[in-house]
Parts: sequence; structure tokens; C-alpha cells
Amino acid sequence: MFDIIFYIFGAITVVGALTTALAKNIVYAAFALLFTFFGIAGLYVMANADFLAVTQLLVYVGGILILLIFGVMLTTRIGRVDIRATTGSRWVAGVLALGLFAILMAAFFGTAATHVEKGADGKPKTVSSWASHSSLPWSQSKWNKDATGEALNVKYGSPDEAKTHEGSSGTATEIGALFLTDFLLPFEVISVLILVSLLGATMIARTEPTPEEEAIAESVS
Amino acid sequence: MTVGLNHFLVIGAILFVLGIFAMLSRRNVIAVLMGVELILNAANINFIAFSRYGGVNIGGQMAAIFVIVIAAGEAAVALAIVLNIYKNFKSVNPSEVDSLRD
Amino acid sequence: MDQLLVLSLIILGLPLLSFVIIIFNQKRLQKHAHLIGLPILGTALALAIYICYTKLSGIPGTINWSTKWVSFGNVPGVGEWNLMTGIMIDNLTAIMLVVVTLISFLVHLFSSVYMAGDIRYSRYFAYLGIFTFSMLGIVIGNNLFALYIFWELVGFSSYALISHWYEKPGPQLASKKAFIVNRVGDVGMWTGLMLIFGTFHTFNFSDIFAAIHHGLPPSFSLLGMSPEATLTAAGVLIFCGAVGKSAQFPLHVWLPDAMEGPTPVSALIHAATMVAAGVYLVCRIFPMLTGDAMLVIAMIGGLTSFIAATTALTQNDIKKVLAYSTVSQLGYMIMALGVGAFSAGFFHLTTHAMFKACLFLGSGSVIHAMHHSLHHLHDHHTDPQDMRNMGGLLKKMPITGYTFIIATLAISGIPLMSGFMSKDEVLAGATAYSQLQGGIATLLPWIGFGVAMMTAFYMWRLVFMTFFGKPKDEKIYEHIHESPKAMVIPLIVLAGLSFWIWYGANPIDPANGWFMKSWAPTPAQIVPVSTEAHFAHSTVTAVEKETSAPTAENVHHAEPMEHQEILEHKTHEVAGTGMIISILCAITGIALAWFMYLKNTALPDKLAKMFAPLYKFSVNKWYFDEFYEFAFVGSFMLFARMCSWFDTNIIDGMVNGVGRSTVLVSKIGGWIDKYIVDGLVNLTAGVTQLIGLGFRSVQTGKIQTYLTWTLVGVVLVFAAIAWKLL
Repeated sequence: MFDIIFYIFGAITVVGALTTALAKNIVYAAFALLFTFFGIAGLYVMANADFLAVTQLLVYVGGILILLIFGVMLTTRIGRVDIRATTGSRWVAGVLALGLFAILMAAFFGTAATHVEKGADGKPKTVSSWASHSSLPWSQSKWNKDATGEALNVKYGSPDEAKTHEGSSGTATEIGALFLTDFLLPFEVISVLILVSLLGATMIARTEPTPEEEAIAESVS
Repeated sequence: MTVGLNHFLVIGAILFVLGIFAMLSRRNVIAVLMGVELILNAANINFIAFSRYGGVNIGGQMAAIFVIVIAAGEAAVALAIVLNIYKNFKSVNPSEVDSLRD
Repeated sequence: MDQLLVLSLIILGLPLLSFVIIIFNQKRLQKHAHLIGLPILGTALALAIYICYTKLSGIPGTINWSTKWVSFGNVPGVGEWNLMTGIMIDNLTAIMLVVVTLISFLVHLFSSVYMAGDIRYSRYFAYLGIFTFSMLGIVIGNNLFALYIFWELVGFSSYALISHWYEKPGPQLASKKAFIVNRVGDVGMWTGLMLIFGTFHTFNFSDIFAAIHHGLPPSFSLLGMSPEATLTAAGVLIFCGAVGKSAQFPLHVWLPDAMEGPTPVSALIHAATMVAAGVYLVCRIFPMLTGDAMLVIAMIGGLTSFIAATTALTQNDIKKVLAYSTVSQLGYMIMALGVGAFSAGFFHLTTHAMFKACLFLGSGSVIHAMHHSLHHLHDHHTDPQDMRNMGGLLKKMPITGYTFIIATLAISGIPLMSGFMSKDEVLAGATAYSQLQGGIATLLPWIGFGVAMMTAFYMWRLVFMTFFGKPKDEKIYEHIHESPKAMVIPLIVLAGLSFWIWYGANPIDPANGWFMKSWAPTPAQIVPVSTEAHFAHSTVTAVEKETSAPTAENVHHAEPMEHQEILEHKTHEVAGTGMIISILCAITGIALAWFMYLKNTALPDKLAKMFAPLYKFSVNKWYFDEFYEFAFVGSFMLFARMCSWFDTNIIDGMVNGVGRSTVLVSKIGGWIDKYIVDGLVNLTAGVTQLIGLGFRSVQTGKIQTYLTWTLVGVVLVFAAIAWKLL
């Protein structure tokens, strides 16, 4: 069941992305992007990242995609939708993309999922490359350390554990707590960053009114 | 074959490659931006995948949230730039925007 | 006594306060600057009168207060040494405080009308404040160093005031001249100061005198001279400062030019502040002057008074006449101090301050009236200061006229006036000195009486031309009006102070009046006996027997008092005769003036033609300015031209030579540059161009092309890594 749902979401994502990248009509591309984002949100849910899935929908679909569509509408003249055939650089792009894909695949599947190491009893044994980490709760994993080596978080475990907490409300509680404790500084910094970028965007996009427009504005007021 | 880490990574890779392709080949700046969004999402999928199957756990999700936030800021600034480009060049074709040469 | 010290400090601070308030609020105060200056100076005057009264009526001796100013620590060759400064109040100081603040107050009052409407009205009052402050500083300081500082401040503020109308070239040049000429004197003064300081390590008057009295050390020597001669030199050098400030020959040339400043400023400079400073300085250093130094001082004073009086005879500018009369009277004062008649000299300084201020302010009043009349007629060519345009003004301006006449009576030495008393004493002192000293000093009484006659003549010439006779121009005459109250009141006050009663009960016996007898007695001289004046011995022995009564005081002061006793005795002897001669001189002078300028008005022109060379000599002020122009300015210019020639022909020649060789070298360098260095550069550029041609196709300016190339790089790098890994 899990696998089937995964493949369905994966297919939606990939097909959407393909359409986005290849469609000649920019409006089609925008709508295909919507499906891609939906599919990705589904994949997040599959990976136990429920909060992130909701965020994905809210921010990407509700925000960024709308912005992009606004951009399309503001810059593309009606009746002159960009349908010009792409030039020869499309082949270059295709070759490069495929080459990159091949390298990535080689990296994924060339990396052994398991490896042999010396066990506690001195005998060699095969272990998963991730097993040593995934088998530990988050609080004990080697990532849960600050610069001094002290454990960052002892209350919450891995996503699996978090899910099985009594009265668990998913990862939202956990992420919220992390934002206000260990990730407080990045959180504040990113808040300032987003504020500055929005102000900057407003500043850049603002158009100086032409003298005629000013005259009109004055006559209206 | 049970769905595992590699499945997520492959989907991420596909999105990444398609994003690259869109960035290189599209003749509309907005479409190029869509390619950028695809790449960011590909990165996010990887974060989540390692959060679930790797040892990264909840840290991966935190990183993904930061990526989403930055993507939102990026989209806003980029679209503002696009509007300015359109105003100055009367076009959104990146091939025609070549004043960087001078 | 402490109270007096504090009060004198307050008096010193008040004009400075006025300056500070006005200078920082020039724009805000504008027309109301006198409302700040007047009350402040009024307060200072009241305090000064209080100090003077307290000091003269009750406290004998000197009030002295010193404080550590700068500590220099252990100075090599001197030992532990601190620069001290402080205040000294003796009778001189007390009287000068009143004189300075009184004249300054009256000048403030006068100026509030006279300067009304001036564009720099407020700044003018600010400078009056600092001028008064500087002069008060000179008066109350107890050491030469503080005196020197305020001395220079007086120089600066007079400069600022003379150049009040700096848009005109006249005031510009006059202020520059006053400043530079004063510097010449100050160089001498500073040298003298350093000479004293170098040996005695103190600037304090009483310390210096005590040290000299104690005995001159052999190290006190200038250019290998003996200590006694060096003391003479020091006295003369310090006197140089007074020569500059008090406008004595040969540095008197600045004073007549200083008339370019506003008339009330002239009154302030010539009556109470600047020129008085020089005389005051000589009074201060009087005890340390040797006989030779005093002879020099007396001769310079006499010469100055003669030169100035002869020049004043023929001047036509009302202020120029007064200026030369000031120089002449200053010569009197200096002469009096030189002959040892200390109290007579200081007495004359005080009385002269009153009547000369009255004369200057009176002339200001006349000029003011003339100016307004001319302004009314839209006449901008007639000179309002030229006496030839005046006449008969007494009817139109009675108060100005009568006060002016009173002051003129005083300056000509008519009995019942203050000027008579002081001048008479000066002349008596000069006569006594010449009889005792002999030699060149015998000239002094002749000069003195001659100058007295000339003074009477030119002053009455001024009065007759201005206030009597027929008006020269009816139109101008019609529009003359008496000046406003603020200008007349100072005149009345000063004219009142020109009567005898303020200075002594008996108008024909000034020597026993309270001013000379008790207020300003001659201080004891402390110079070594061998350096005192060489009086004729026959008289000395005769007097010596008479005065060597064995009183305690005489024994104590036996040596230092001796000379003054002789002089005073002699002065008493000659005073009666001198008085008669002096009155005769004055009356002769007045009669002559009356005859020439009222009775027979054609006579002056005839005389001028008859004695043309003499007349021209006088009108052109003895050609002093021309001489200085030729001798100093001219020679300086000649020197400058020589320097210029040296510069153009020799220095420039060298520079040009260096320049030419540089050109040659650079030509060689240029050839190397062109064919060798440039060749290399061009080669490099060519190679770069070739490479650039190759890269130009990459540089399209399109971001997608750049991105493509970037990714090509990325793919290649990753492919290489993957190849190695696999």
C-alpha cells in the first residue's frame, strides 16, 4: 500500500516536472508546476514530514506559484504567448542534464547500502551504511550535538519515535520547540532575511511614475 | 522492491535534472524561475529523504523549512527583477537580455 | 585691602564681559549694542572711583598680590622657578583706573550717537570693550610679562578699531602702519624684558627693583658691556616700547594716520588708553632708570614735542591738528619723566587725558554736525574735517564750542586750568634739570617754552578757524545743528574736569597741591650711585649741606633720595620764573593766532609764501613719511628687488639648468620607452587580443550561456570524480 501510494505521488511529481520543463506554453508549465508541488507534498507525508507537507502546500502553491503566475500575466502580452521553438541550445541543455543525471544515478547506486565492519565481538559483520544512525533515537545520534559535544535535544526522538509519542501531534510540536530552542538564532536571522528581501523586492519593482502619470494623479486628487 | 532511500533520491534527481534543463533551455525568464523552484524542491526532497531514512532525523526537516523560506524570498526578489527587466528590455527572453556583455 | 584686589579684578573683567557678550551676539544686538556696553562700563567706573577714593584717602603704600601662574619646575641654571603674576594697586594704578574707565565710559556714551547707523555698530562696541580691558590689564598688572601681554592686546585692539571702516584704503593702511610701527618698538621692549629676565629670573616689578638695589651681578651684561651700562641699555630698550605706543620720535608717524579711525576711538586712543600706556610704562620702570637712560628719554621727549608742535602749526584737518598736539603733549610727559619730574609727568598725563578727550570728542561733535549738513546738501566732495570749510560755529553749537574753548584754555596753559598746573610743573622740572645737568640738556627748557607758545598758537588757530569768524560756506552753515545730549554730556563732564580744583587747592602752586604732593609722589630710584645723573657739583654740595638733616628717614634713604632732593629744590627755585614765562608764552601764542586768523586773515597766506620752504616742511610733517618710505620701505623694496634679481637669474638659472638636463635624460628615456618597453607591451597586448578573440564567442552576455558553460564544468568535474570512484 505504502509503495503504491509512493509511486502514484512520484509519477505525479515527475510528470508535472517534465511538463514544466518542456511545455511550450508558459501557462501550462505553471499549472504543471502546481501538480509537481502537490506530488512533492505527498512524498513529504510518505516520509513522515507532515508539517513540512502542509508548509509546502501553503508556501509553494499558495505563495510562490501565485507569484509566478502573476509574473506570467504581467510580462506576457495577451495573444502573444511565448510559443517560439527553442533553438539548438535545447540539445546542449538536454545532453548536459542527462549527463548530470547519469552521474547522480551512478553515485546513488554505486554507493553501497551496506558495508562490512568489525563488530563488538571482533568478528567482521555486514551492517547498513545508515543502520548505525537510524537505529539510534535522535537524542542519541551523532548529529544531535552542538559545538561542545553536548546533546542538543533529549526530549524528542527520531520522527518515528515522535510519531509514536503518546498524544503526538506529529512533527509540528517538535519543529516548533526546536525553533524556539536550538534553532532560535537561525530562525531570527531568516526572519530578518525574509523581511529585507520583501522590502528589497518592493523597492526594485516600484516604478517611478512618468510625468504624464503624475499629472493625471494630480488632476484626479 | 520496497520503497527506500534511493527511491526518494531518484525522484529528487529527476526534478533536479529537469530544473537544470528548464533553466538552460527556456526562452522565458519566468520559466527559468520555475526551473529554479524545481531544483530547490529536489534539494528539499533529498533533505526529507535523509531525515526519514538516513541518520539526520528531524534536522533534515528543519533544513527543508529554511530552504522553503529562502525560496519564498528568492521568488519575490526574482520576480521584482523580472518586472524591471521587462520594463527596460520590453522582453522576458533571457537571450535578448545581454547587456551583461558590455 | 583684599576687597580692593577683588574689585580691581572685577573692573578688569567687566569690559571683557562686554566684549564677549557683544561679539557673540553681533547679529542679535545690532543697534542695541551700547545697551550692553554702557551699563557695564558704568559699573566699572563706579567701582574704579570707589577704589581710587579708598586707596588715596586711607591706604598708604602698595597693595600687592601674586599667584603662581606657570610652574616650570627645576629649570637648569635657574633652579626651582615659577612664573608669577598678580595685581598691584598703588596710587598710580588707582588714578589710572578712574581715568581709563571714565574716558572709556564717556566714549561709549558719545559713540552710541556718533556711530548710530554704522554697519558694524555692534562690533565697534565689542572692540571698545576689549580695548578697555587691555588697557586696564596694563594698569593693574604687577609684572612686566603680564604688562607685555596686555600691551600687545592694546596693539591688536587699536588695530581692529582703526580699521573699523576697512572698506576704505585709508583706514586699512593706517591700521597696518599703526600695528607695524608699534611692532618695531615692541622688539626693543621685548629685548629689554629678556635682558632683565635673563639675569634676575623674575618679571615682578618690586622683585626686579629689589634685585637691582641689592647690587648688580657681574653676569648682567649685554654684548660685553659693564653691568651699569647694561642697566642703561635695558632701560632704554624697554623705553623703546613706550616710544612705539606713545608715538615718540622716531616712531610717532603712526598716530596722525590713526585719525582714519572713528573719532571717538581717536579720543580713546589719544587720551586714556594706548598712548597713555607708554607713559605709564615709563612711570613703572622709573626707579630702575639710570642717569644716562633718563637723559636719552628726556631728549627724545623734547625732540618729539618740538617736531609735533611745528607740524601742527600748518595742518588744516581738524583731527590732524589734535593728533600732532597729542604727540607734542606726549613728548612733554616723556620729557618730564626723563628729567626726573615724575609726579609732573604723571600729573600731565592725567590732566591731558581729560582735556584732550574733551577736544577730540568736541571735534567729533563738529565733524558729526558737518557731516550731517553735507549729507543734507548731498555734497560728498567737501571734506567735513577740513577747518577751511568751517567758521562761526560757536553760535550754532554753543555747548560744543564753549567746552572746546575751555579745553583749549587748559591745553594752552592759562591759569586756573588743569593744563596750566601740570605743564608748568613739567617746564619747571625741565628747567631745573637743564641747569643741574648742563650740556645738551640746556636745550630742553628752550624747547619746552617754545612748544608751549606754539601749542597756544595752533590750538587757538583751530578754535578761531572753527568757531569764530565768518562761515566759509553759508549753505553748510545753515544746516549745522548742536549735537544730541548723549554727545554733549561727555563734553561737559570733561570740560568740568579741566579746571584746577580737582588737582590742588591753589591754582598757581601745583607742587603743593594734593595731586603731586600726596597722590603721586616721586618714587625713590634704586640704581647704583655711579649711574645716576651727573649734576653740576657746585650746586650739589650746596644743597647737600642743606638737606642732610639727620632725620631718620634721610639716613635710611640717604643715597637714593639725594638726587631727587636736589632736583625738587631746584624746581622750587625756578618754578616762579618759569610760571611767568609760560603764561607770557601762552598769551603771545593766543594773541598771534588772534592776529593772524581773525584780525588779518590775509597774513597767513603771505607768510606761507614768504617762508615757503619752512611752510612746506611743516605741512608735509617734516617729510617723515617720505623719509621712511625712502629709507626703510624703499631700501626694503630695493633689497627685495635684489632678491628678485638673484632669484630670476641665479636660482632660476640653476633650476633651468637642472630642467634642461632632465629633458635630455627624459628624451633618452623616451626613446627606450618607445621602442623597447612599448614593443614588449604591444607584444603582450597582441597575445591578449588573440586570446580575447577566442573567448569573445563565450562572452555573449546571456546568462543561460554562462550557466551552460558552468554546468559543463560541473559535469566534467563530477564525471572525473565518478570515474575515479567507480
